[in-house]
Amino acid sequence: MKRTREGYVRLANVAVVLAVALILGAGLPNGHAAPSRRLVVYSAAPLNFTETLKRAFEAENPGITVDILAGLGGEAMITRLDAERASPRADVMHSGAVFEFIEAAKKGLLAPTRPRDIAGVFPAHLFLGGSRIPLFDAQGRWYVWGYSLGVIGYHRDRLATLRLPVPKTWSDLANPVYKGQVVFNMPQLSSSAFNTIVALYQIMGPRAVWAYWDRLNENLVFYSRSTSALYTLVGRGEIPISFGTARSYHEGQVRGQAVDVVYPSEGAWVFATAMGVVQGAPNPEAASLFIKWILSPSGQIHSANQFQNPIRAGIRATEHNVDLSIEAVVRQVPKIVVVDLAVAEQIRADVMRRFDAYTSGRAR
Amino acid sequence: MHTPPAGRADRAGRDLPAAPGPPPVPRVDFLRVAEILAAACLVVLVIVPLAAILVDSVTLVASGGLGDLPDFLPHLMRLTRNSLFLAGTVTIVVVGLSMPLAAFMTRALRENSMLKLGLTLPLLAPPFVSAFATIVLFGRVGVVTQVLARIGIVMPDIYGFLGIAVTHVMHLLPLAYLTIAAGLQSVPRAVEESAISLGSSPFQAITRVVLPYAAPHVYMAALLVFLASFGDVGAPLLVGGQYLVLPTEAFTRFISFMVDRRVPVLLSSWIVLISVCVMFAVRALMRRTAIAHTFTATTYTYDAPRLRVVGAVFCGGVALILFVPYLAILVSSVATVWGPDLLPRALTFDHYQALWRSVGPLRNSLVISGVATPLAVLLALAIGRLVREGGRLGAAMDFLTLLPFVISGVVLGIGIVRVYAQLEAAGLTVALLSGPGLLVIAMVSRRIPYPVRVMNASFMRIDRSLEECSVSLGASSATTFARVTLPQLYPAILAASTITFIQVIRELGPRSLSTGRVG
Repeated sequence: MKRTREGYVRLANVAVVLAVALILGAGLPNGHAAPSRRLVVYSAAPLNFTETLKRAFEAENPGITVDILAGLGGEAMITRLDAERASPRADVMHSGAVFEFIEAAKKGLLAPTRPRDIAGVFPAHLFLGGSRIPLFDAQGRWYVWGYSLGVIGYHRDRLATLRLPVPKTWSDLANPVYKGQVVFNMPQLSSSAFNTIVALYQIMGPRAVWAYWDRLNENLVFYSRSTSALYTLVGRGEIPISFGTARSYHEGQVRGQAVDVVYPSEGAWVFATAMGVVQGAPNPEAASLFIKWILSPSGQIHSANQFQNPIRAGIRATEHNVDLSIEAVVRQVPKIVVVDLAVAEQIRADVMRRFDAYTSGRAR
Repeated sequence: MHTPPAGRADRAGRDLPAAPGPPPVPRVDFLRVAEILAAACLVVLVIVPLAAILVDSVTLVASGGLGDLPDFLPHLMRLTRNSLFLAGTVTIVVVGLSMPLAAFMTRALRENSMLKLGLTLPLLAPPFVSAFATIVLFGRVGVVTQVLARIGIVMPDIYGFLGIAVTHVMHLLPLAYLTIAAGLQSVPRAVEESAISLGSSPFQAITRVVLPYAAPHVYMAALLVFLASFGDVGAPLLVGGQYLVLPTEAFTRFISFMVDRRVPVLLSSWIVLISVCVMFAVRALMRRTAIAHTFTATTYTYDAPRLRVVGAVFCGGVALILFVPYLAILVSSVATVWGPDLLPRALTFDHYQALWRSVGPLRNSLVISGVATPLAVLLALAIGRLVREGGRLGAAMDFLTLLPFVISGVVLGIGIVRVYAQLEAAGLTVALLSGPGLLVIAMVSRRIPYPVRVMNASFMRIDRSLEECSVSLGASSATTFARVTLPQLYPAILAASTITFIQVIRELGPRSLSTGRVG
């Protein structure tokens, strides 16, 4: 009995010591660590992406430990960097849509760098599918490191079971044969969904796009509040058709799901993702090294392995057979639409208002 | 001036008068200080975040802040109607099923441990996981849907009210069952025995004698189920389709940067108001129906073989139904691809290997739970003593610790983040309050009701005469607590730690292990 009590005392002591030690930061990655050996990255990329990125970078750059705070979302990163402005903790802002980096740069949260030093051989733009994708800011505050294409995704087997044709164009999705077979996420909550609407606006024009959406709205089962749930539903064949970035469908393909993508003939849109050195970063040199590495062939292969299209020519994934290279995109994608940021800002309020009505059922 | 110490003699051997000596130092009652600190912590963890939301909302409304949101009020009314209808339906079904379940288990099956394990299994999983199981089983290409389709039965679409309700019923049944079973066990054996000996049938005894005694527990079960269903985010997010409810709307609006920032704050304060009103109403009902008794509560069991058979079939059937979703999750975890085929294409351990390779998230979950658990238990220990001592502060703390149980986790989270943001804006942030530190704080404030309830119950069972003996023998209150009270609480501390750890990692696990979002 006595021994049991002593055991409890020891247990309680260990718990208290553990708690105090951890609170003091021994076990929690809070970004306060020895300078020059530790790089702190805030990233909007998913966890599986950042975990492999960390391992790959550390393997090629011994002596630098990378702490990545993943899955933050672009706005969350900006809010956080803004709050830490007086005493920055992060070295790199990584991943997220380009317009979020433009916003961060406007707020003075990203440090200017010399594009020639960082991007080296890269041209200022990538020409694809008749469009021009900017690759970096003139002042070197942000650099695009990859992109994914906005496409129609579908479940092959489920469409075959339902005896439905594969939709080839954005307009096909509004065909009544697909009633109850399409799912989409909410543009009010997802930047990829919002970008889809802006791209369709650019493709169809301001009048036709809303007439089109009224018809498409009739085919939608519902608007998903969770972007990842959307891909899960299509991947299982629960709902056979959706549209979003190709990355998640390719990931599903490699996992063995019978999913595929269609590059609509009216144009697939580009979701380019960027990175930049944080203004006042504790380790600017290591941050520049990190960015350079991501743009290097090794870093670009890592991106391709994680289903992001590389921006460097001749790069193919080494861990799966999905060809995301620039050469493959040129071969397979008839037309690419780059989302116009000025148009996005101009129609944002109207899109929010209209989709508040669509997603609450008032527009039906 | 030198003053000779008392009891000393002068050179002539005469006793010197005793000097007055230094004034006695007032003894610091460390336990009282700890209690007050704990009470202050609780106020900071629970009251401040909720108050921040309410103050923000009142300020918004008072400043005419809704003028540019013309559709907000109709939308709010629709969300409220949906949420109340969902929670009400789930509560009626769950409590309706739990009453016979608890009656059979306590009166005919002597709390069979295997059945009890089966009936309480869903408590270990978050609603998010239960919702995924609902899709795997009852979705358009779900296993049950496909099997039924082969015999000509067409299942209705689950994406909407039906999907959320099915998920909540299966997920919340154990909560109601355990609460009602505890109520049935508190019914004095003598009362029930008398009813039977006076000629009542088991049905009459249960409906006319047992249920009135257990009514407060039934109301409590209804309250817990109602609030859990009302405050859940996970199931509506996955299977809710176009059926919109308050917490999910507050959550999704809060994490998006493209919508009006005022909306989640207003929705959150509305959730707080509704939840607190429901809680007060049910507590009043519980007080009115409580029956005081001084009997020793041992449980009466009916020696009726037919009742045992019916009970075993009913309880076994329910346990099996509750087990199937978790079997589906288990199979999913080793399946390469499952859906739209009836069964998985192949089995693999790749998912577990991937989890093992990316050990970081798992480690983070364990670290956060490992830090939050002892903090919550320490806080509960101090609060438990405060509640036992009674008084206004004790009663206030007892009520305060109920709030995180009542209020949706999303609302508490939104409140904590808003307070943190305001501290940041005022330049008052410390490293401790960022990232993982904030998560620890959120977990402690969210899960504090669990250890507090365990510690309260344990403090009530402690024989105070032992403590009185210790004090009368000259020990300080701190020594008495450390050497007399605490050893009696060790089992409770262990139990509270286990429950809290499970509750924290249950909430944290899927969030930390999820792969985040793209775009």
